[in-house]
Amino acid sequence: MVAVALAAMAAFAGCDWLLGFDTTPPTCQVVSPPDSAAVSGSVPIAATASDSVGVEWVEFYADGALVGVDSATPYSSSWDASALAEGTWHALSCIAYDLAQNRGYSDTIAVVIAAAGQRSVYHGELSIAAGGREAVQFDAQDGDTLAGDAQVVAGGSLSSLLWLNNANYQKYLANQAYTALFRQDGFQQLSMRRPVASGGSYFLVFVNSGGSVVKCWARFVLE
Amino acid sequence: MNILLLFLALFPRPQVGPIGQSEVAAAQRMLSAERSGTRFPVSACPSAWDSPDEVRVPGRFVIGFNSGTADAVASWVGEQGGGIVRVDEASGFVVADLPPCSESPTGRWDLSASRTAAIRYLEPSIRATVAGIPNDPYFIPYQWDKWVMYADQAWDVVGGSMDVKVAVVDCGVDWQHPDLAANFKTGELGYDFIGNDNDPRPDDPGIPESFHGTHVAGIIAATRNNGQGVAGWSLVQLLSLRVLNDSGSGTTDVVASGIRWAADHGARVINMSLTSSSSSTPMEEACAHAESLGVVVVAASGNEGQQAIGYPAALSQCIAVGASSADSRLASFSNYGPEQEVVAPGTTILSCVPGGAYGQADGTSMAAPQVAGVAALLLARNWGLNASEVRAAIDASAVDMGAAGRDVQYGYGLVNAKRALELAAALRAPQVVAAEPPSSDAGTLILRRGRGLRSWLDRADVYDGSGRRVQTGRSSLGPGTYFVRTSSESRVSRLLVLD
Repeated sequence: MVAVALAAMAAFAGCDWLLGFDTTPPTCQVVSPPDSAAVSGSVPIAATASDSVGVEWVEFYADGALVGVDSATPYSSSWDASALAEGTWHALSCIAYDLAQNRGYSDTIAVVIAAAGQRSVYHGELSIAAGGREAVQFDAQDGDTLAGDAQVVAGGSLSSLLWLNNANYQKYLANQAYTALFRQDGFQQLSMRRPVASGGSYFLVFVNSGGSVVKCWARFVLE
Repeated sequence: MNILLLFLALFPRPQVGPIGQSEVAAAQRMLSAERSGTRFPVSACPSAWDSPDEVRVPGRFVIGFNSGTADAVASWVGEQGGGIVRVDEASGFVVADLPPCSESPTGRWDLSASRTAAIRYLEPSIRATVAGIPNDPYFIPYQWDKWVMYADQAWDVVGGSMDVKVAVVDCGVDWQHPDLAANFKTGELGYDFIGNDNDPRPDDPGIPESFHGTHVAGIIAATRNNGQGVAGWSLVQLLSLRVLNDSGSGTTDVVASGIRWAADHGARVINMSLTSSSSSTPMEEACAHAESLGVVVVAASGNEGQQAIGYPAALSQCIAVGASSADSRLASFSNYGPEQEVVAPGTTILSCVPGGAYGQADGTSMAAPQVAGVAALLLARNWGLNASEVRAAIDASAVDMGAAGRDVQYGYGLVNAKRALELAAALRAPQVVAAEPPSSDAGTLILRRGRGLRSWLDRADVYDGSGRRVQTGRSSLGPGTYFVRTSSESRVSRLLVLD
């Protein structure tokens, strides 16, 4: 009789797990990244979970494989997506466990792997004064490739486009002999693609030695 | 609720020919369109023969013939009610003007094998242009915005389609503008919620701000390669929803009505170059409604130059677009924040203004329609894309700007139309996304619908929720949950088809 009363009280008080009566699974939801998000590299995953009694831990799954466990709120983990092909879809989900080892399955969300990093060096237009130049500074790493196009749209043609590392850019500014990593003279249109041999600071220099302003569009990326 | 006008400079009429065109013309000429040739014999009219497309010359076809059979082809053309334009014996083809395949004077074209034995192939005549650079006289030297988003390369792949409806929720569009009129269908111009009529134009073009909707529409869809004015992103069917007055102000409840009207009338993309500092329930409900119908909703982040994205851009259903500048930075006026999804050029943007004129303007208002236009191109290329896929393709292919990865200034970065098209094609391929976490039940396979889904399913037995076998060989599967037994493994899995 006392046991029944205790059980009733325990159930009423939400302590039914004490007596092994907790059969209600927890709920679990992946809250970040959002469904259909584009992701890359190391992807942080966050989840919410709740239970009538208490959540003991949350397991994180990517494509069905366990990638992490967290037992404290906010429940979070991270997933390494760096080796996955761009444009492919992958599934993220979580399972919450309560103290009675009930499992709560989340809905599965799908994320897509972002296209391999393309970083902007310059995407805009340049007005280069008569007898003048414009320099675009950027940092690149070993293994990057510099790729891009230039299109003269007014003022005839551009005298030169130079790609210089920092040391040679300083020589160029000081009117000393310099070595360019890439050089194209006298053009209206150019496309170039060159690997970056070592990390560092670089400059693209647009040179106009003509007598009128040259307007040029430029779109350059590091891949 | 305000339109995002910062600066407008009216443009002079063109005085000289296009600058730089002669130089560009010296570059190699190339065919700028996909080949859609059809090998014979055939039994029916492929829809490609009759459907409008800006890269095809309407009604003109190239017909390849077998050696010595030019006369037989010429007489076949005559029987279909057509006429020969020219014959190239050496190449083995004739060029002919023909009535639509299904409407020749004698009914359908006679495609019987005996009558068409001389025909090797038949395909629409494809316009040839200089690669990518359109002949619109203002493109060079003004439309840097399109070029830095790789529009010229995207246009080599697709030019747009009137099948894609794009709604401009704004202060009205001058739909008679000669660079826009081809994008409107008579009797389906949109709706004027200010004047409560079916003529969604600004009432008084004399009010300076009234240019706004026309300018936005021109960025999306000004007719390209018509030798006139500017080039917009894509041929589309425009719908103008006039929800702001000629001064560019209004209330979010009217905006909500415009969104809902557009979504309910088949818009696949909605552009909102408007912003409010706070959200409102009707606008949120309208955006959720649009999302539920699979509409791509694009909105401007706002022009206060502050870390706070305006509404509706900050809503989860919207792609929040900030403005990049001609010197390749975030424009000084552009808002930013965690909801910033991408950026697109928004300074010195040349587009249409009412009265057949052109003008330059700055604003995130000019950035949002660039993204709406790219979305339309993606849908024209592949109608089956859903809104999430369009959004994912745009986000995941953007050129990273600022801090590495997604950041509050630039979001995913500057939209790259060419790479978005490439990625969208990859997204559409069928993929088994994953098996669900291990459990006592059999796992779940999650599939995205794609071009090859049916052939994948042909190798599996698929059952619906009530256990009935689904005939996947003949009908494509709609979104939903099914059960599948593949030939490689005998166990039954739950199959969730996403759309």
